[in-house]
Amino acid sequence: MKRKFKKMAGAAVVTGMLLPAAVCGSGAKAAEAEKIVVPYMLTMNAAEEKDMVQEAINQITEEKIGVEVELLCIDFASWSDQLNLLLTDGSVDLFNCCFMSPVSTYVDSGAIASLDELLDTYGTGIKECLGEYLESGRFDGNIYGVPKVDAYSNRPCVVMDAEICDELGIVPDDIHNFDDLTEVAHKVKEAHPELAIFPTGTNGDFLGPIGFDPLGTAGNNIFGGLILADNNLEVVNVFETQQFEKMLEYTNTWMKEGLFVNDPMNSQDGAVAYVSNRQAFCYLGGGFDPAVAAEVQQNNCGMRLYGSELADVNYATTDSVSGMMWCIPALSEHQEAAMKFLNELYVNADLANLVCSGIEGVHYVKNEDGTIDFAEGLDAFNTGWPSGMGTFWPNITITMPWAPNPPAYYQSWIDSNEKATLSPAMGFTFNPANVTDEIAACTNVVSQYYNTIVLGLDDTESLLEQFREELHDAGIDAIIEEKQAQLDAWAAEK
Amino acid sequence: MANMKRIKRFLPLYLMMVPGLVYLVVNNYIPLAGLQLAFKKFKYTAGIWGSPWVGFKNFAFLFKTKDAWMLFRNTIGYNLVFLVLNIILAVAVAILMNEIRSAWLRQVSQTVILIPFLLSYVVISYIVYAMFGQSNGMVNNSILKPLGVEGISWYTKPEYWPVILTMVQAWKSFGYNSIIYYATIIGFDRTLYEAAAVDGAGVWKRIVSITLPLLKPTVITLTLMSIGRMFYSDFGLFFQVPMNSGMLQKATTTIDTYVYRGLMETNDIGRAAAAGFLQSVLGFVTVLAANMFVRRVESDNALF
Repeated sequence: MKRKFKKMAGAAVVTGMLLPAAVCGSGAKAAEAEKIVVPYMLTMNAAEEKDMVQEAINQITEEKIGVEVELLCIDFASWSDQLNLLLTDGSVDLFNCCFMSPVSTYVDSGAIASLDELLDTYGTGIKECLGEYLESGRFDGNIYGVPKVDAYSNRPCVVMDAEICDELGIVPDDIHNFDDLTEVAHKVKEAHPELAIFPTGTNGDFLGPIGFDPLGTAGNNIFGGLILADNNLEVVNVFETQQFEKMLEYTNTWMKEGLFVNDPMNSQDGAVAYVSNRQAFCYLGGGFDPAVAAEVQQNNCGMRLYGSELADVNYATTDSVSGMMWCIPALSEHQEAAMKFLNELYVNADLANLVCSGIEGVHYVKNEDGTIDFAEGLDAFNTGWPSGMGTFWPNITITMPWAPNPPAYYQSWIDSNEKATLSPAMGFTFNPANVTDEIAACTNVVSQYYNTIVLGLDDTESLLEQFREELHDAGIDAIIEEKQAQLDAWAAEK
Repeated sequence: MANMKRIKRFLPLYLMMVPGLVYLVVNNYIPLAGLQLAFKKFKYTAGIWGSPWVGFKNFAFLFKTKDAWMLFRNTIGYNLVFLVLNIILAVAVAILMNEIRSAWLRQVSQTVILIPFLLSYVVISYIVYAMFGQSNGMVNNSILKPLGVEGISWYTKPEYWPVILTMVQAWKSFGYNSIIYYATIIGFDRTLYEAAAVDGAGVWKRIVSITLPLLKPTVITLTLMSIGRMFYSDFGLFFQVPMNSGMLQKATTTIDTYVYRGLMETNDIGRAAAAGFLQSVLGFVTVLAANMFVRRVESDNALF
């Protein structure tokens, strides 16, 4: 209780610090520009040249839409805490609801504004950009979140150390499923017994190949979902499917064969870290294209990586579309200006380039083929405007891609959406308000059993039975029923 | 008139009290109004006062699993063990420290026993892991293996953890607690000890007949104060030290870790407030009861 209040006091302090800045900032600028505050996430690099970029943004926005933007830099580690606080008093006007609680919880607590009218008036560009995908931001009849333009579909894949693959003659294109992967794993283990194949049970995305739509519950907490191969609207308990058992067979065998890192239960590092430290050969992940999934991590890892698919379909679900939603706080006093700016981010290529890649000539230079490169003397680590954060912003696909990507790089993202297999529940969003207690209880059950069962650290068969039973006791059936009811209502309306 | 004079005389002292009082009111009394959140569904737009009441609905999630009693059993059980063990260890160490004659040795030992208290639980969790890790841990490799016993997978066997956690907790906190008792002991009237020595009382006799009885009020006060935290648990100890291992949850889940796991995803202010409210109310009731008991048995030592 007390802690909560200290947090709120903290929010007051933060706003207190923001206010003078706001006053200084607006003094010199044109009086009619409406000022909005937009938080920006810092990951590896600090945005040292934020002021410079912000000024360039304002040069575009003040003239075109009469909005002055202040970027508020927040560290990744405190992103969710800080933003939750800022939402309590409306000191931000537009934010990316990523690495926070699901959008539905903010809808439920009235923290974010319904956007329908704003979209009608100021968001025509957004509507054109997103088309049907805009529906994934609809909760209880109204749009509350706007997904970013992205490659929406997701395909389970494995990302591997390219050097070892080359050395052992492993061809990424030959891997299509867990059987192929197991074969490769044996081969690598034989040649490099000192190396673990899979990093951890806690971070690996083993559920991916099952191919299901989680219907709004995140991570390993799959409380009812659709099996996508069945292509129907029947909500099932994923933990009780054959597919789940089949997945357990694989992971349990891998564990017995010593393919995981030592003490996987206690490994706290991210899966990617194990690969980049050369402690593990590969990790499981997802992406619309395995090659791209590997590529995006190459810089982080400082090594070459190959990606292979582990399933042959690319599914797009509401959850895969709504991973990063842009929302406007209900307490914001500048909702219209925020929507104007958001709309501009979707359609204005100059603005998108600016926020995604920085200033031309300062942070990047154009190549002849239409791609961009770091300005002289800069690289991913010493640039003053983080170069890898483009995907944070609403529409990276209208920007110039970084070399060595091909000029039509982002077009391939858009194209992948057309090839994706849509979940039958695409566009459906689950409102958990009626079953929050059950979700809290089931979450605890999953955290107790899930990893042990996946890694087969104990008698899997009897544990699995206990796991399922405790989920029933904790009310998973109520959650599934609620999902089914909401889903049926949604389908009927459609 | 006399009153005015007194106020005037102590005015500087009153003024010095103001910042402390303000702090107390701002930090401890104003937030009490927020307790209402435990019974409300918090809406950002409506604020704390305007959010709708929901009765006891926010408390339900604590009792949803059939293991609900386990939360309370663990929380209270561990706290009871810690309470008793901490007193015994701290008093024993304080008395031993008092008997050390070499000033140098006394200072060194005071410093050394404080070190664990200064470590964060994240650091301690890795020390514990270095001991109990399955493949590289000290216990499995350097103790069990030479004895010909097969290594134990510590992080999957909940039955060992009540002992491990108790040991860790005692190790971390005994230094700090014993310093408090030691500070009390050195304040005791030396002449009592000298008189006893003249009368032929040995070291043991002096401890039992002088130190312990004199220490009793301090023990009772400190115990009463920690009883108020009976329904709280140290999140670091129960979450970090077992490395959030699922298999151990039967032995390591307390109210705090359960609430954290259950609500981490949902940012649910009402339910979090409800859990905190329940903990403090139960703690308050226990303190009242314990104090009543003390007042009946030894009215001099009761807190109020």
